[in-house]
Amino acid sequence: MLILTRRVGENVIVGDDIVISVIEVRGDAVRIGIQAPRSLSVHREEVWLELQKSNSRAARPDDSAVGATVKELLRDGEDAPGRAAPPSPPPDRRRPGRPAD
Amino acid sequence: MTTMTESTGDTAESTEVLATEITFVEPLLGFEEYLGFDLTDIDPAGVLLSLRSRLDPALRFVLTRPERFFADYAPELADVVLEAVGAGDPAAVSVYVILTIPTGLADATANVRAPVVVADDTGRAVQVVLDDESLSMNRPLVS
Repeated sequence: MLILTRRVGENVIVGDDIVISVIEVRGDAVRIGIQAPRSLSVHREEVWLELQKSNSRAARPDDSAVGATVKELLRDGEDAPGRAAPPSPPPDRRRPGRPAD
Repeated sequence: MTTMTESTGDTAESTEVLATEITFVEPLLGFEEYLGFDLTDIDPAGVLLSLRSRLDPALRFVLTRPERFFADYAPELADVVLEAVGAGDPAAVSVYVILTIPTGLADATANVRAPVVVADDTGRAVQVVLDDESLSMNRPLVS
């Protein structure tokens, strides 16, 4: 790990196009600005870890669990007349091509 | 394919499920090699959707349109998010949430903190982590 000391208003440049700025220091908290081309994938570490875990748990759900969920959703739709009907899929999305999943 | 009768009596809806081609402009965290997916309806009403990898068809996620379960969920998407998928305005994208389904509806949860945003015209997509820390990555579908 490269360790640097920076003051408020100073920057660190990583590679060609990532800029890390010290915006403000207040007590023991540092406000950091990050400019990066893939800025959407810049995360606080604990959020990053939680998201990795969540995506990983969500991947490859059991077919029978998914089937059971569909069944339960359809049954709930019938048993609860006050419940809003499921929305129709937006027509614009559909394109000719690949067969059903 | 079995034709299901909708309670709305909507006979205009096609029974044929067509795929939408999805391309992640930044990959899902933890799935960096997987950029191309097909998005299809699992049930005829399109409550649940399958997001299946084109690289490895054994990899799929189940998504839902969050408004189906969470009436109060209306995330504001930052300009940088819309730009990433090449959308001109929020009306040009669809927002989905990834589900975790251990056994069924009762324990199914939705990641409402990090939805998947898809440009309607191109299928370009990104998973964005919303700033609102009160949003959960594991929100139950039913209470």
